[in-house]
Amino acid sequence: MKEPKFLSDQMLNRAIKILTILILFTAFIFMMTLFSSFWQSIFDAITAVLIPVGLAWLISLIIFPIVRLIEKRGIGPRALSVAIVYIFTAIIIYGVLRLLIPFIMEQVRTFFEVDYPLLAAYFRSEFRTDFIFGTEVYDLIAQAVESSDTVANAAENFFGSLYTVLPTTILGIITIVAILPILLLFYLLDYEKVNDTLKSLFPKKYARTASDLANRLNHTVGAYIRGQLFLMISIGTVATITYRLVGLEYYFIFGIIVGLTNVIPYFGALIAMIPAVTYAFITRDVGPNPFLIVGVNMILQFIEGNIFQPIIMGKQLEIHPIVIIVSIMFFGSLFGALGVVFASPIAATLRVIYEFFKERYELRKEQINLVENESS
Amino acid sequence: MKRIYSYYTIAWIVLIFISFWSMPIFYAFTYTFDLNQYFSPNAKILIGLSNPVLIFTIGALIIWHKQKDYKKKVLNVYRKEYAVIMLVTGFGILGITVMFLEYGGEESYILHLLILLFLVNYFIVFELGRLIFNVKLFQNR
Repeated sequence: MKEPKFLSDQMLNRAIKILTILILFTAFIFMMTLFSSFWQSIFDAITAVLIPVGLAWLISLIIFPIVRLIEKRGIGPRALSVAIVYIFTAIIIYGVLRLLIPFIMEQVRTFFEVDYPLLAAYFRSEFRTDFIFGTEVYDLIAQAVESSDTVANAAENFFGSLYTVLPTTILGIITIVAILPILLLFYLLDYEKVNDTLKSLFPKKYARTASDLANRLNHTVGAYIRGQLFLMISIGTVATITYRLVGLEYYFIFGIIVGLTNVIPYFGALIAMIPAVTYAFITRDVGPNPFLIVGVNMILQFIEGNIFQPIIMGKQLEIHPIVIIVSIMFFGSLFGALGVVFASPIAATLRVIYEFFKERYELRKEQINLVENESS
Repeated sequence: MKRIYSYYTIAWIVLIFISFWSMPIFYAFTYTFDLNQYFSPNAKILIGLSNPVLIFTIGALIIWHKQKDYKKKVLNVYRKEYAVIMLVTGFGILGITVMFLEYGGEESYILHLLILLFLVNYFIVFELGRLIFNVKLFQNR
Protein backbone atom coordinates (compact mmCIF):
# COMPACT_ATOMS: atom_id res chain seq x y z
CA MET A 1 0.00 0.00 0.00
CA LYS A 2 1.21 3.47 -0.90
CA GLU A 3 2.07 5.62 2.11
CA PRO A 4 0.31 9.07 2.02
CA LYS A 5 2.71 11.97 1.57
CA PHE A 6 2.46 14.98 3.88
CA LEU A 7 2.09 17.36 0.93
CA SER A 8 0.06 15.10 -1.31
CA ASP A 9 -1.76 16.44 -4.38
CA GLN A 10 -5.06 15.78 -2.69
CA MET A 11 -4.11 17.81 0.37
CA LEU A 12 -2.72 20.69 -1.72
CA ASN A 13 -5.91 20.71 -3.72
CA ARG A 14 -7.99 20.96 -0.57
CA ALA A 15 -5.77 23.74 0.86
CA ILE A 16 -6.10 25.75 -2.37
CA LYS A 17 -9.88 25.30 -2.28
CA ILE A 18 -10.13 26.48 1.37
CA LEU A 19 -7.82 29.45 0.68
CA THR A 20 -9.87 30.46 -2.37
CA ILE A 21 -13.09 30.32 -0.33
CA LEU A 22 -11.49 32.37 2.44
CA ILE A 23 -10.18 35.01 0.01
CA LEU A 24 -13.55 35.21 -1.75
CA PHE A 25 -15.37 35.49 1.59
CA THR A 26 -13.01 38.27 2.78
CA ALA A 27 -13.46 40.07 -0.55
CA PHE A 28 -17.23 39.75 -0.15
CA ILE A 29 -17.09 41.20 3.38
CA PHE A 30 -14.84 44.04 2.11
CA MET A 31 -17.30 44.82 -0.71
CA MET A 32 -20.16 44.78 1.81
CA THR A 33 -18.40 47.33 4.02
CA LEU A 34 -17.95 49.65 1.02
CA PHE A 35 -21.74 49.77 0.59
CA SER A 36 -22.59 49.77 4.32
CA SER A 37 -25.30 52.44 4.02
CA PHE A 38 -27.02 50.38 1.30
CA TRP A 39 -26.89 47.22 3.42
CA GLN A 40 -28.10 49.19 6.43
CA SER A 41 -31.22 50.31 4.55
CA ILE A 42 -31.80 46.71 3.38
CA PHE A 43 -31.36 45.48 6.96
CA ASP A 44 -33.77 48.17 8.26
CA ALA A 45 -36.36 47.14 5.68
CA ILE A 46 -36.00 43.47 6.63
CA THR A 47 -36.33 44.36 10.35
CA ALA A 48 -39.43 46.49 9.61
CA VAL A 49 -41.06 43.49 7.92
CA LEU A 50 -39.71 40.84 10.26
CA ILE A 51 -41.03 42.38 13.51
CA PRO A 52 -44.76 42.56 12.61
CA VAL A 53 -44.63 39.25 10.71
CA GLY A 54 -42.82 37.55 13.61
CA LEU A 55 -45.26 39.02 16.13
CA ALA A 56 -48.23 37.92 13.99
CA TRP A 57 -46.81 34.38 13.86
CA LEU A 58 -46.23 34.29 17.64
CA ILE A 59 -49.76 35.58 18.39
CA SER A 60 -51.24 33.13 15.88
CA LEU A 61 -49.67 30.32 17.91
CA ILE A 62 -51.92 31.39 20.81
CA ILE A 63 -55.05 32.25 18.81
CA PHE A 64 -55.10 29.56 16.12
CA PRO A 65 -55.68 26.62 18.52
CA ILE A 66 -58.78 28.48 19.79
CA VAL A 67 -60.00 29.02 16.20
CA ARG A 68 -59.47 25.32 15.49
CA LEU A 69 -61.32 24.36 18.68
CA ILE A 70 -64.30 26.49 17.65
CA GLU A 71 -64.28 24.89 14.21
CA LYS A 72 -64.19 21.42 15.77
CA ARG A 73 -67.41 22.32 17.60
CA GLY A 74 -68.98 22.86 14.19
CA ILE A 75 -68.89 26.65 14.12
CA GLY A 76 -67.72 27.80 10.72
CA PRO A 77 -66.71 28.91 8.13
CA ARG A 78 -63.25 30.16 9.08
CA ALA A 79 -64.28 33.83 8.82
CA LEU A 80 -66.97 33.28 11.49
CA SER A 81 -64.68 31.46 13.92
CA VAL A 82 -61.96 34.10 13.48
CA ALA A 83 -64.56 36.85 13.96
CA ILE A 84 -65.76 35.20 17.20
CA VAL A 85 -62.18 35.00 18.51
CA TYR A 86 -61.50 38.62 17.50
CA ILE A 87 -64.70 39.91 19.12
CA PHE A 88 -64.04 37.98 22.36
CA THR A 89 -60.42 39.16 22.44
CA ALA A 90 -61.57 42.75 21.94
CA ILE A 91 -64.15 42.38 24.75
CA ILE A 92 -61.55 40.88 27.10
CA ILE A 93 -58.99 43.61 26.26
CA TYR A 94 -61.65 46.29 26.73
CA GLY A 95 -62.82 44.79 30.03
CA VAL A 96 -59.30 44.41 31.39
CA LEU A 97 -58.35 47.94 30.36
CA ARG A 98 -61.61 49.31 31.78
CA LEU A 99 -60.84 47.61 35.08
CA LEU A 100 -57.13 48.35 35.18
CA ILE A 101 -56.80 51.82 33.66
CA PRO A 102 -58.62 53.66 36.51
CA PHE A 103 -56.36 51.93 39.05
CA ILE A 104 -53.20 52.66 37.14
CA MET A 105 -54.21 56.29 36.47
CA GLU A 106 -55.17 56.81 40.10
CA GLN A 107 -51.88 55.38 41.35
CA VAL A 108 -49.81 57.38 38.82
CA ARG A 109 -51.71 60.59 39.73
CA THR A 110 -51.23 60.01 43.46
CA PHE A 111 -47.54 59.29 42.91
CA PHE A 112 -46.92 62.56 41.06
CA GLU A 113 -49.11 64.63 43.38
CA VAL A 114 -48.06 63.22 46.73
CA ASP A 115 -44.92 61.13 46.55
CA TYR A 116 -42.89 62.69 43.77
CA PRO A 117 -42.30 66.02 45.63
CA LEU A 118 -41.40 64.02 48.76
CA LEU A 119 -38.98 61.83 46.83
CA ALA A 120 -37.35 64.86 45.20
CA ALA A 121 -37.00 66.48 48.63
CA TYR A 122 -35.53 63.26 50.00
CA PHE A 123 -32.83 63.14 47.33
CA ARG A 124 -32.03 66.82 48.01
CA SER A 125 -31.71 66.51 51.78
CA GLU A 126 -32.02 63.15 53.59
CA PHE A 127 -30.22 61.09 50.97
CA ARG A 128 -26.95 62.75 52.05
CA THR A 129 -27.31 61.55 55.64
CA ASP A 130 -28.53 58.09 54.51
CA PHE A 131 -25.72 57.65 51.99
CA ILE A 132 -24.26 54.18 52.47
CA PHE A 133 -20.58 55.28 52.33
CA GLY A 134 -21.03 58.28 54.65
CA THR A 135 -21.65 61.99 54.15
CA GLU A 136 -17.99 62.78 53.33
CA VAL A 137 -17.97 60.46 50.31
CA TYR A 138 -21.33 61.88 49.27
CA ASP A 139 -19.95 65.44 49.42
CA LEU A 140 -16.89 64.42 47.41
CA ILE A 141 -19.05 62.81 44.71
CA ALA A 142 -21.44 65.77 44.68
CA GLN A 143 -18.51 68.18 44.35
CA ALA A 144 -16.98 66.16 41.51
CA VAL A 145 -20.31 65.99 39.71
CA GLU A 146 -20.93 69.71 40.13
CA SER A 147 -17.45 70.73 38.95
CA SER A 148 -17.44 68.48 35.88
CA ASP A 149 -19.76 68.80 32.91
CA THR A 150 -20.10 65.02 32.43
CA VAL A 151 -23.66 64.84 33.77
CA ALA A 152 -24.77 67.90 31.82
CA ASN A 153 -23.26 66.49 28.61
CA ALA A 154 -24.75 63.07 29.21
CA ALA A 155 -28.16 64.63 29.87
CA GLU A 156 -27.85 66.81 26.78
CA ASN A 157 -26.86 63.83 24.63
CA PHE A 158 -29.65 61.72 26.09
CA PHE A 159 -32.37 64.31 25.51
CA GLY A 160 -30.88 65.17 22.10
CA SER A 161 -31.03 61.54 21.01
CA LEU A 162 -34.47 61.19 22.61
CA TYR A 163 -35.67 64.04 20.43
CA THR A 164 -34.67 62.16 17.27
CA VAL A 165 -35.23 58.56 18.41
CA LEU A 166 -38.62 58.99 20.15
CA PRO A 167 -40.68 60.02 17.08
CA THR A 168 -39.33 57.12 14.99
CA THR A 169 -39.83 54.66 17.87
CA ILE A 170 -43.40 55.86 18.50
CA LEU A 171 -44.09 55.77 14.75
CA GLY A 172 -42.72 52.22 14.63
CA ILE A 173 -44.91 51.11 17.53
CA ILE A 174 -48.00 52.76 16.00
CA THR A 175 -47.26 51.08 12.65
CA ILE A 176 -46.89 47.69 14.34
CA VAL A 177 -50.08 48.18 16.42
CA ALA A 178 -52.02 49.22 13.32
CA ILE A 179 -50.64 46.57 10.98
CA LEU A 180 -50.54 43.62 13.39
CA PRO A 181 -54.31 42.94 13.77
CA ILE A 182 -54.85 43.15 10.00
CA LEU A 183 -51.84 40.97 9.23
CA LEU A 184 -52.96 38.48 11.88
CA LEU A 185 -56.53 38.47 10.52
CA PHE A 186 -55.44 37.55 7.00
CA TYR A 187 -52.96 35.00 8.31
CA LEU A 188 -55.64 33.30 10.43
CA LEU A 189 -58.17 33.36 7.59
CA ASP A 190 -55.78 31.64 5.18
CA TYR A 191 -53.64 29.83 7.74
CA GLU A 192 -53.35 26.55 5.81
CA LYS A 193 -53.04 28.33 2.43
CA VAL A 194 -50.21 30.60 3.67
CA ASN A 195 -48.39 27.63 5.21
CA ASP A 196 -48.83 25.54 2.03
CA THR A 197 -47.49 28.41 -0.08
CA LEU A 198 -44.50 28.74 2.23
CA LYS A 199 -43.89 25.01 1.97
CA SER A 200 -44.16 25.12 -1.83
CA LEU A 201 -41.29 27.62 -1.90
CA PHE A 202 -38.99 24.76 -0.97
CA PRO A 203 -37.85 22.28 -3.67
CA LYS A 204 -40.01 19.13 -3.78
CA LYS A 205 -37.12 17.13 -2.36
CA TYR A 206 -37.23 19.15 0.86
CA ALA A 207 -41.00 19.80 1.05
CA ARG A 208 -41.61 16.97 3.54
CA THR A 209 -38.73 18.13 5.77
CA ALA A 210 -39.99 21.73 5.71
CA SER A 211 -43.50 20.57 6.60
CA ASP A 212 -42.26 18.44 9.53
CA LEU A 213 -40.12 21.30 10.82
CA ALA A 214 -42.98 23.80 10.55
CA ASN A 215 -45.30 21.47 12.48
CA ARG A 216 -42.76 20.96 15.22
CA LEU A 217 -42.03 24.70 15.41
CA ASN A 218 -45.71 25.53 15.69
CA HIS A 219 -46.21 22.93 18.40
CA THR A 220 -43.14 23.64 20.54
CA VAL A 221 -42.93 27.42 20.24
CA GLY A 222 -46.72 27.65 20.64
CA ALA A 223 -46.49 25.73 23.92
CA TYR A 224 -43.65 28.01 25.03
CA ILE A 225 -45.57 31.22 24.24
CA ARG A 226 -48.76 30.00 25.91
CA GLY A 227 -46.78 28.90 28.97
CA GLN A 228 -45.00 32.24 29.23
CA LEU A 229 -48.28 34.15 28.93
CA PHE A 230 -49.84 32.00 31.65
CA LEU A 231 -46.82 32.57 33.92
CA MET A 232 -46.78 36.29 33.19
CA ILE A 233 -50.42 36.79 34.19
CA SER A 234 -50.19 34.47 37.22
CA ILE A 235 -46.99 35.93 38.64
CA GLY A 236 -48.15 39.50 37.98
CA THR A 237 -51.43 38.90 39.81
CA VAL A 238 -49.80 37.07 42.73
CA ALA A 239 -47.21 39.87 43.06
CA THR A 240 -49.95 42.53 43.05
CA ILE A 241 -51.91 40.80 45.82
CA THR A 242 -48.78 40.09 47.88
CA TYR A 243 -47.52 43.67 47.56
CA ARG A 244 -50.87 44.92 48.77
CA LEU A 245 -50.88 42.44 51.66
CA VAL A 246 -47.47 43.61 52.87
CA GLY A 247 -48.68 47.21 52.62
CA LEU A 248 -46.66 48.54 49.68
CA GLU A 249 -48.13 51.66 48.07
CA TYR A 250 -48.59 51.57 44.26
CA TYR A 251 -48.87 47.79 44.49
CA PHE A 252 -50.73 47.75 41.20
CA ILE A 253 -47.99 49.44 39.19
CA PHE A 254 -45.26 47.34 40.81
CA GLY A 255 -47.30 44.14 40.28
CA ILE A 256 -47.82 44.94 36.60
CA ILE A 257 -44.07 45.57 36.27
CA VAL A 258 -43.38 42.14 37.82
CA GLY A 259 -45.79 40.49 35.34
CA LEU A 260 -44.48 42.31 32.29
CA THR A 261 -40.80 41.83 33.06
CA ASN A 262 -41.40 38.14 33.76
CA VAL A 263 -41.07 37.52 30.00
CA ILE A 264 -37.38 38.44 30.28
CA PRO A 265 -35.73 35.44 31.95
CA TYR A 266 -33.34 36.07 34.87
CA PHE A 267 -32.97 39.83 34.29
CA GLY A 268 -36.73 40.45 34.42
CA ALA A 269 -36.96 39.62 38.12
CA LEU A 270 -34.11 42.01 38.89
CA ILE A 271 -35.59 44.80 36.75
CA ALA A 272 -38.97 44.39 38.50
CA MET A 273 -37.39 44.39 41.94
CA ILE A 274 -35.44 47.66 41.54
CA PRO A 275 -38.35 50.19 41.54
CA ALA A 276 -40.33 48.41 44.28
CA VAL A 277 -37.31 48.01 46.57
CA THR A 278 -36.11 51.58 45.92
CA TYR A 279 -39.55 52.94 46.79
CA ALA A 280 -39.78 50.72 49.89
CA PHE A 281 -36.32 51.90 50.98
CA ILE A 282 -37.21 55.58 50.66
CA THR A 283 -40.56 55.17 52.43
CA ARG A 284 -39.31 52.65 54.99
CA ASP A 285 -40.48 54.81 57.92
CA VAL A 286 -44.13 54.62 56.86
CA GLY A 287 -44.18 51.63 54.50
CA PRO A 288 -42.98 48.02 54.59
CA ASN A 289 -39.38 47.05 55.22
CA PRO A 290 -37.40 47.00 51.92
CA PHE A 291 -35.94 43.60 52.87
CA LEU A 292 -39.49 42.28 52.99
CA ILE A 293 -40.01 43.41 49.39
CA VAL A 294 -36.70 41.77 48.39
CA GLY A 295 -37.87 38.61 50.18
CA VAL A 296 -41.28 38.65 48.47
CA ASN A 297 -39.63 39.04 45.05
CA MET A 298 -37.10 36.32 45.72
CA ILE A 299 -39.74 33.86 46.96
CA LEU A 300 -41.94 34.64 43.93
CA GLN A 301 -39.05 34.07 41.55
CA PHE A 302 -38.08 30.89 43.37
CA ILE A 303 -41.63 29.52 43.12
CA GLU A 304 -41.92 30.59 39.49
CA GLY A 305 -38.55 29.24 38.43
CA ASN A 306 -38.51 25.98 40.37
CA ILE A 307 -42.14 24.96 40.69
CA PHE A 308 -44.27 26.58 37.98
CA GLN A 309 -41.86 26.84 35.06
CA PRO A 310 -40.69 23.20 35.01
CA ILE A 311 -44.28 21.97 35.20
CA ILE A 312 -45.76 24.34 32.65
CA MET A 313 -42.87 24.38 30.20
CA GLY A 314 -41.63 20.82 30.69
CA LYS A 315 -38.27 19.39 29.66
CA GLN A 316 -38.88 19.86 25.96
CA LEU A 317 -38.78 23.65 26.29
CA GLU A 318 -35.95 23.89 28.75
CA ILE A 319 -33.23 26.24 27.53
CA HIS A 320 -29.87 26.53 29.25
CA PRO A 321 -29.44 29.81 31.19
CA ILE A 322 -26.24 30.66 29.27
CA VAL A 323 -28.08 30.33 25.95
CA ILE A 324 -30.85 32.60 27.24
CA ILE A 325 -28.43 35.26 28.51
CA VAL A 326 -26.42 35.21 25.26
CA SER A 327 -29.61 35.43 23.18
CA ILE A 328 -30.91 38.34 25.29
CA MET A 329 -27.66 40.23 24.65
CA PHE A 330 -27.55 39.32 20.94
CA PHE A 331 -31.19 39.94 20.01
CA GLY A 332 -31.33 42.97 22.32
CA SER A 333 -28.55 44.63 20.38
CA LEU A 334 -30.13 43.56 17.08
CA PHE A 335 -33.79 44.51 17.65
CA GLY A 336 -33.68 46.71 20.79
CA ALA A 337 -36.28 46.31 23.55
CA LEU A 338 -38.39 43.96 21.41
CA GLY A 339 -35.33 41.78 20.94
CA VAL A 340 -34.87 41.53 24.72
CA VAL A 341 -38.53 40.57 25.22
CA PHE A 342 -38.57 38.03 22.40
CA ALA A 343 -35.06 36.66 22.98
CA SER A 344 -36.28 33.48 24.69
CA PRO A 345 -38.97 32.55 22.09
CA ILE A 346 -36.38 33.15 19.36
CA ALA A 347 -33.90 30.98 21.29
CA ALA A 348 -36.62 28.31 21.65
CA THR A 349 -37.26 28.48 17.89
CA LEU A 350 -33.56 28.12 17.09
CA ARG A 351 -33.27 25.23 19.50
CA VAL A 352 -36.17 23.41 17.84
CA ILE A 353 -34.55 23.93 14.40
CA TYR A 354 -31.17 22.71 15.70
CA GLU A 355 -32.64 19.62 17.34
CA PHE A 356 -34.72 18.81 14.27
CA PHE A 357 -31.69 18.76 11.98
CA LYS A 358 -29.58 16.96 14.57
CA GLU A 359 -32.21 14.20 14.81
CA ARG A 360 -32.40 13.94 11.03
CA TYR A 361 -28.63 13.76 10.74
CA GLU A 362 -28.44 10.99 13.35
CA LEU A 363 -31.28 9.09 11.71
CA ARG A 364 -29.54 9.30 8.33
CA LYS A 365 -26.27 8.14 9.86
CA GLU A 366 -28.05 5.17 11.43
CA GLN A 367 -29.70 4.28 8.12
CA ILE A 368 -26.34 4.45 6.27
CA ASN A 369 -24.76 2.20 8.92
CA LEU A 370 -27.64 -0.23 8.62
CA VAL A 371 -27.32 -0.39 4.80
CA GLU A 372 -23.53 -0.84 5.06
CA ASN A 373 -23.95 -3.64 7.60
CA GLU A 374 -26.53 -5.37 5.45
CA SER A 375 -24.40 -5.15 2.32
CA SER A 376 -21.29 -6.43 4.12
CA MET B 1 -46.50 -0.58 40.37
CA LYS B 2 -47.71 2.98 40.09
CA ARG B 3 -51.40 3.47 39.52
CA ILE B 4 -52.46 5.77 36.68
CA TYR B 5 -55.77 7.54 37.14
CA SER B 6 -58.30 8.38 34.44
CA TYR B 7 -59.13 11.94 33.44
CA TYR B 8 -62.47 11.49 35.22
CA THR B 9 -60.78 11.25 38.65
CA ILE B 10 -58.46 14.14 37.79
CA ALA B 11 -61.40 16.31 36.70
CA TRP B 12 -63.14 15.67 40.04
CA ILE B 13 -60.02 16.57 42.01
CA VAL B 14 -59.51 19.77 40.00
CA LEU B 15 -63.18 20.69 40.47
CA ILE B 16 -63.02 20.10 44.24
CA PHE B 17 -59.89 22.26 44.47
CA ILE B 18 -61.37 25.10 42.41
CA SER B 19 -64.62 25.02 44.37
CA PHE B 20 -62.84 24.91 47.71
CA TRP B 21 -60.54 27.83 46.95
CA SER B 22 -63.10 29.94 45.04
CA MET B 23 -64.24 31.77 48.17
CA PRO B 24 -60.77 32.96 49.25
CA ILE B 25 -59.94 33.78 45.60
CA PHE B 26 -63.07 35.95 45.42
CA TYR B 27 -61.90 37.78 48.56
CA ALA B 28 -58.39 38.21 47.13
CA PHE B 29 -59.71 39.82 43.96
CA THR B 30 -62.18 42.13 45.68
CA TYR B 31 -59.34 43.22 47.96
CA THR B 32 -56.90 43.86 45.11
CA PHE B 33 -59.34 45.77 42.92
CA ASP B 34 -60.88 47.64 45.86
CA LEU B 35 -64.33 46.23 45.07
CA ASN B 36 -65.43 46.40 48.71
CA GLN B 37 -67.30 49.62 47.98
CA TYR B 38 -69.66 47.68 45.69
CA PHE B 39 -70.59 45.03 48.26
CA SER B 40 -72.03 45.24 51.74
CA PRO B 41 -70.21 42.88 54.17
CA ASN B 42 -73.23 40.54 54.17
CA ALA B 43 -73.49 40.50 50.38
CA LYS B 44 -69.81 39.72 50.18
CA ILE B 45 -70.16 36.73 52.51
CA LEU B 46 -73.19 35.54 50.53
CA ILE B 47 -71.39 35.81 47.17
CA GLY B 48 -68.26 34.28 48.66
CA LEU B 49 -70.19 31.29 50.00
CA SER B 50 -72.32 30.82 46.91
CA ASN B 51 -69.22 30.71 44.68
CA PRO B 52 -68.13 27.18 45.71
CA VAL B 53 -71.70 25.87 45.49
CA LEU B 54 -72.24 27.35 42.02
CA ILE B 55 -68.87 26.28 40.66
CA PHE B 56 -69.21 22.77 42.08
CA THR B 57 -72.72 22.35 40.67
CA ILE B 58 -71.80 23.58 37.17
CA GLY B 59 -68.54 21.61 37.16
CA ALA B 60 -70.20 18.43 38.39
CA LEU B 61 -72.83 18.72 35.65
CA ILE B 62 -70.12 19.11 33.00
CA ILE B 63 -68.16 16.13 34.36
CA TRP B 64 -71.32 14.04 34.59
CA HIS B 65 -72.19 14.98 30.99
CA LYS B 66 -68.72 14.04 29.73
CA GLN B 67 -68.04 11.11 32.03
CA LYS B 68 -67.86 8.56 29.18
CA ASP B 69 -65.07 10.45 27.41
CA TYR B 70 -63.30 11.31 30.63
CA LYS B 71 -63.29 7.72 31.87
CA LYS B 72 -61.71 6.58 28.60
CA LYS B 73 -59.06 9.29 28.60
CA VAL B 74 -55.89 8.28 30.43
CA LEU B 75 -52.66 10.27 30.36
CA ASN B 76 -49.22 9.45 31.68
CA VAL B 77 -48.76 12.85 33.29
CA TYR B 78 -51.44 15.46 34.04
CA ARG B 79 -49.20 18.49 33.76
CA LYS B 80 -51.74 21.18 32.75
CA GLU B 81 -54.27 20.08 35.35
CA TYR B 82 -51.57 20.10 38.02
CA ALA B 83 -50.57 23.64 37.01
CA VAL B 84 -54.22 24.68 37.51
CA ILE B 85 -54.25 23.06 40.96
CA MET B 86 -51.06 24.91 41.93
CA LEU B 87 -52.25 28.26 40.63
CA VAL B 88 -55.62 27.97 42.36
CA THR B 89 -53.91 26.93 45.59
CA GLY B 90 -51.52 29.90 45.32
CA PHE B 91 -54.35 32.39 44.91
CA GLY B 92 -56.33 30.58 47.60
CA ILE B 93 -53.52 30.97 50.13
CA LEU B 94 -53.37 34.70 49.41
CA GLY B 95 -57.17 34.82 49.66
CA ILE B 96 -57.18 33.20 53.11
CA THR B 97 -54.68 35.82 54.24
CA VAL B 98 -56.92 38.56 52.86
CA MET B 99 -59.89 37.06 54.73
CA PHE B 100 -57.81 36.95 57.91
CA LEU B 101 -57.01 40.63 57.47
CA GLU B 102 -60.54 41.69 56.53
CA TYR B 103 -62.13 39.94 59.51
CA GLY B 104 -59.95 41.68 62.07
CA GLY B 105 -56.69 39.73 62.02
CA GLU B 106 -53.50 41.39 63.19
CA GLU B 107 -51.44 42.76 60.27
CA SER B 108 -48.16 41.68 61.83
CA TYR B 109 -49.21 38.01 61.64
CA ILE B 110 -49.73 38.04 57.86
CA LEU B 111 -46.29 36.67 57.04
CA HIS B 112 -46.55 33.93 59.67
CA LEU B 113 -49.90 32.89 58.29
CA LEU B 114 -48.65 32.98 54.70
CA ILE B 115 -45.64 30.80 55.50
CA LEU B 116 -47.72 28.32 57.49
CA LEU B 117 -50.37 28.05 54.77
CA PHE B 118 -47.72 27.73 52.10
CA LEU B 119 -45.97 24.85 53.90
CA VAL B 120 -49.17 22.93 54.61
CA ASN B 121 -50.52 23.37 51.10
CA TYR B 122 -47.16 22.66 49.52
CA PHE B 123 -47.13 19.30 51.28
CA ILE B 124 -50.69 18.52 50.11
CA VAL B 125 -49.99 19.57 46.50
CA PHE B 126 -46.66 17.73 46.48
CA GLU B 127 -48.26 14.47 47.62
CA LEU B 128 -51.15 14.92 45.20
CA GLY B 129 -48.68 15.39 42.34
CA ARG B 130 -46.65 12.35 43.37
CA LEU B 131 -49.57 10.01 43.95
CA ILE B 132 -52.20 11.06 41.43
CA PHE B 133 -51.00 13.55 38.82
CA ASN B 134 -47.65 11.78 38.33
CA VAL B 135 -45.78 15.10 38.51
CA LYS B 136 -42.85 15.48 40.86
CA LEU B 137 -42.08 18.98 42.08
CA PHE B 138 -38.40 19.98 41.89
CA GLN B 139 -37.59 16.84 39.91
CA ASN B 140 -38.76 17.96 36.51
CA ARG B 141 -35.52 19.69 35.55
